Amino acid sequence: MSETQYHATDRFEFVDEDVELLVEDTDLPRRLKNELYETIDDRGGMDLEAVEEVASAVESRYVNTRVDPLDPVGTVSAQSIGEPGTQMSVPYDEKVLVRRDGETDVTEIGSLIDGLMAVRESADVDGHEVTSGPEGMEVLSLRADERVEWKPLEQVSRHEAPEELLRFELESGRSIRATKAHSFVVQDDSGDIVPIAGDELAVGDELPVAGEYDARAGEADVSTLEAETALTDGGVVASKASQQSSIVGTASWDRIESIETVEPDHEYVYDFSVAGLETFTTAQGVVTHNTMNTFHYAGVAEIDVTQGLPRLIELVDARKTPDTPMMTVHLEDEYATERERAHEVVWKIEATKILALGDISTNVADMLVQIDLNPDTLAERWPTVDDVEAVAEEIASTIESALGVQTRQSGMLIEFGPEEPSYRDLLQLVEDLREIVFKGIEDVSRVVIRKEETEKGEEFVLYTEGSALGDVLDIEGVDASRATCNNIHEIYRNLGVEAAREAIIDETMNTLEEQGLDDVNVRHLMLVADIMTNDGEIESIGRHGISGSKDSVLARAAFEVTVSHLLDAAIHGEVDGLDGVTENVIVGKPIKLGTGDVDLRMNPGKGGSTD
Amino acid sequence: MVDVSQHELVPDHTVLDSDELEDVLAEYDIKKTDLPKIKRTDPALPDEAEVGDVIKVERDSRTTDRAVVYRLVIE
Repeated sequence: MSETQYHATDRFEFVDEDVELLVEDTDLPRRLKNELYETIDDRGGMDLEAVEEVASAVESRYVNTRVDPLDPVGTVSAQSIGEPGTQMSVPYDEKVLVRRDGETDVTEIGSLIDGLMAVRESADVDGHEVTSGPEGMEVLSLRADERVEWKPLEQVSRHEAPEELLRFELESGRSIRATKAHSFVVQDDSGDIVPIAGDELAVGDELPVAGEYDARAGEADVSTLEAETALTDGGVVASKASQQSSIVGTASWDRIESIETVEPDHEYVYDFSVAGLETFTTAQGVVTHNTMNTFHYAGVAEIDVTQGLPRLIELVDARKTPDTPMMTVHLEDEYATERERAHEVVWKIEATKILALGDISTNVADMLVQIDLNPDTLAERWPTVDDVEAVAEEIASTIESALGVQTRQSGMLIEFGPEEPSYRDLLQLVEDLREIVFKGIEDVSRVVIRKEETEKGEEFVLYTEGSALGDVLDIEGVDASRATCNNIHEIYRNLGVEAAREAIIDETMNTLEEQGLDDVNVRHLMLVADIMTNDGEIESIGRHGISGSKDSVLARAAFEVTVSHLLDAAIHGEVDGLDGVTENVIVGKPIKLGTGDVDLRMNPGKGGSTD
Repeated sequence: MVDVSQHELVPDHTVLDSDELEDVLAEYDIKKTDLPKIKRTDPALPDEAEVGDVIKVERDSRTTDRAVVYRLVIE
């Protein structure tokens, strides 16, 4: 929520604090919020419930009809074939949106491809006729991040139409026909975009669509399509289109209202092949996909760790907490080989907050916060408990003790409210609720499992964002002899100073190697680590640690904060023994190593004596 | 509580008795306080170590097979 106070209470007579909070909390632009205030004023004030109703109605209307800048209003067509050997195609008269040399056009896929087949040589792949797409032609395609982008059309194909086709009607009025095996894309539970076969789709599933659909016209106005400059995220951008953008907006999700079987009208069914996720959109904006086997955007995001110079600085300065704390946790015995057991450990470590467990809603009228728990998630995260009711009870009591409120729990629903009916308290409770950790270690925000090859064979290894080595070592299933983290202080606290020394060497070595500087001889790093751990704890190299604790005034002054060191020394009459390297270099004496390690004496004895 | 001496980062820590200690100090011609330190609360210390004892640490070294270091236990 924004911190800046709009002071609507001052500007509008009938708007009080609670009303203002409510309105400010919505997603509306300033203009609409003001209109709301004015309306409330005109009516001589409204009670909170009514304000909430109006505000949320306005908000949802606004959000639903809002067109983000550069959204493709109209239809976008892309379809992609990944492997021509599969029966995944759309019929002749399905209209598709293509672009060539900057000009967009809507065309029947059948006539486009038939035309190409007539003039080009085509290859036969498993009963499909395949040929390359027209030079420089692009289609709109859905990327894995749900944004829609022009991509080059690589290949086209057709094959004989099967007996039956499926026809999908969507909530917006859009429709698409395709073969039963034709693959679409949907969002799975974790939000990843994955392919799904046409005959696996059911009423209620959601398909990605782009832009707004004009049911009357049956398609959209192509001339309104504009583009924004492609973001350079490393994605492929068609060279022709790079002068004019690729990305044209974000896909939204449209619900399937009905599915029916129809007979094909024409002899053939057709497909496009596009690079990337291999989706393309029909003229009505429905995003379909080919190929079941290739695309697996499983979203195994790499954990981001500080590297390079900043990491080196962190280590050398012995910073208490690194910017990206991370733990590597190996598992023991059966926990390392069985996925189920590995997941058990994951849930013991990863901090589970309320948002992962269910939906929160606020009922302003009754001054209640309602939580609807998802029984599947509960069962998943508490695998050792059979009855999810018991888990729900446990959650309710955790909330009670954490927030200090009385909760009512029935099955998967929990509700509670503030003691006094205050909108502010209610919001505060919701905010606090979001922060409560129900299971796992608070500092660990995310855990990633990977199957890795180690000396012991293939085993599961957990990587965490967030570090709590002490707690993790105690958890059952964790191999306490191999768990490590990148926070040297934590290693020092839990495993001792020698382990910390080893950790410093490992971390600096890895940081340098990762930057390609693997020629640095490890003994230099060993020296650094030894000096840092010499006093039994970890000291930083800088003026708060080792360099600052030298006896010599001149050495300290030469390092940092020159004047204050000299000043203090002068005030207190300090003596510099001139023992070390720096101070001897300053005054011009030989240092006390090598030549300077010995004093020469002359013995004025009788000539020839060698005693 | 888990036994930290089992961890792969932690080397062997043993308490030195006074004879061995004298040998070591003589060999390097140092006083006890010149040695690197280790804190009494260090998790890797053996339980019987007390302030003023010297610990012998044997590591698997990267530059050689075994490396031996000594640390004085301090408060």
